[in-house]
Amino acid sequence: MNSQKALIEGILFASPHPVSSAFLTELLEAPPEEIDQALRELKAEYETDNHGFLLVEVASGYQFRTKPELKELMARFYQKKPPRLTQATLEVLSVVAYKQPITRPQIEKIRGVDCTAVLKALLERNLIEMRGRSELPGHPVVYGTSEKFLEWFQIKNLADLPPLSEMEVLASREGLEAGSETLLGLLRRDDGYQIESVGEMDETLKQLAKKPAPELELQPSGDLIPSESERSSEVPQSEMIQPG
Amino acid sequence: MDELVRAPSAAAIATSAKYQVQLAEWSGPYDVLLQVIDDQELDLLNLDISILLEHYILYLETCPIIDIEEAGEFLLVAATLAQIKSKLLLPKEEQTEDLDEKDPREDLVRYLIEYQKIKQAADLLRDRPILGRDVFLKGTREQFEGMESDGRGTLFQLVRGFQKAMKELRAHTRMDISREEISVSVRLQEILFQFASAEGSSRFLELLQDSSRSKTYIIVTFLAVLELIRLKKIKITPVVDSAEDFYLQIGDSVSLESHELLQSEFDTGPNEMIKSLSESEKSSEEMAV
Repeated sequence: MNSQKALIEGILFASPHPVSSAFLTELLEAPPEEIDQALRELKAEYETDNHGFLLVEVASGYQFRTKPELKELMARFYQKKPPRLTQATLEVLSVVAYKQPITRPQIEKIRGVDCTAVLKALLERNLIEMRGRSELPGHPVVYGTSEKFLEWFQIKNLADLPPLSEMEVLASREGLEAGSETLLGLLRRDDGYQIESVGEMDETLKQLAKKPAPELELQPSGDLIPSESERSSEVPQSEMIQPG
Repeated sequence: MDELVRAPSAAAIATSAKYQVQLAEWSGPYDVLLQVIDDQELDLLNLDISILLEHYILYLETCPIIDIEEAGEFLLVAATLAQIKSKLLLPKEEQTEDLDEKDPREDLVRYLIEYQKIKQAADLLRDRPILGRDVFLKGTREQFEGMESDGRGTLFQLVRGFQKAMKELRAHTRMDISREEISVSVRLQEILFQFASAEGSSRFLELLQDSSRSKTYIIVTFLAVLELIRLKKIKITPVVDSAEDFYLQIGDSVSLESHELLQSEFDTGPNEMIKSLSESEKSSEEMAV
């Protein structure tokens, strides 16, 4: 029983939470490459049809989870309705995930509707959390997604989310050719108020998490429409939050 | 006139959940706009505002009753569209004085582009392997549901459960004049006894399920649970998909067989506390009406 793989498997089996490879490295006093190699091998082994569960990367760690193909069976086994997710819930979660840290008025500006009830429900489910207060007038609370959000949606880390800029926009080909020049420009230069790379944002969040809450400063990311003067002086988000 | 300005009545508030069902197709005014753009095959980058406005209003009319608060948001967008339309009707020459000539539709299009991206992000989230829907963790049902917390409940959850039980009681019973006499100590023993037959764990709301019982019964049960926690006889663990309910489990070092008689501090005085609690409950009920 000296196989690194067996030891790792044991820990992952026993743990109720995702376990990070950094933690395993420390615990097993082994070189990180060895741990990563063992994890890769384990992952591949469970992907075969002989197993009902997988080793997945979630919330910056590794965890055993049943295969999605078993979902009907599992629902019968637990006799439990799956969590209810409304369109509004998912939209607010997306806004928070991509624009965090963000205030409630900023979320409402993007969605065009009141979000108080949805935010409250998400807070109660611990899918989002308060991250302190912004420097904006009235010092509104700013929100961010929680560790549980990553666990619920099986997301490795925030950088794993597809960038918002890659989302398709409903615009016809004729529009791209004959559309108003000003409006056409919007499609190209919307970098000033939008996080281009969530990977970079993830780093910022990590820093924010270490920072005491009252010092938190809000990035101008949530402002959909900066005023004319702001716009010219605005630095693209991706440049502002470059780690290091 | 009377109908137009009438504030939402208590009955309307109580049934507002129904209105939301009618609105569920759209998650907001932008959603409706995108639907119109899609249906009418409008070009987002060269928006025909008059067609957009016309159909937007048509769509809203198919939705007979709108929650009064949400209606405001939908109307705001209609007003914005009308304003843009009027600006576009102005002759171009008058605008040449503006150095930075801005298309009146710019802000709207910017919102719509942004909102579309969020909608797609939401769709992607929905399609992910969601815990508890598509993928599951190992463990018994209890552990599965409780595992997403660090295994410790908060006092607020306990209070919320109490409030929920009180609310349900209010919905079920009419007038309850007879007075049920039950002491915390007795209920405490009952709960422990119930645990013994249920393998040492139970749900809080299960303890309160007997809706035929009086308010006193619920209050006493709540006090007994608090007392058991204080005496370290039980532990509480939150239930993941419920903000009110939680699991009660027998403490690690507690033997269900021991016949140690538990005496609650609540019983030392006459039922003063219970009385004051039910009175404050009554007054808050009156205020709600």
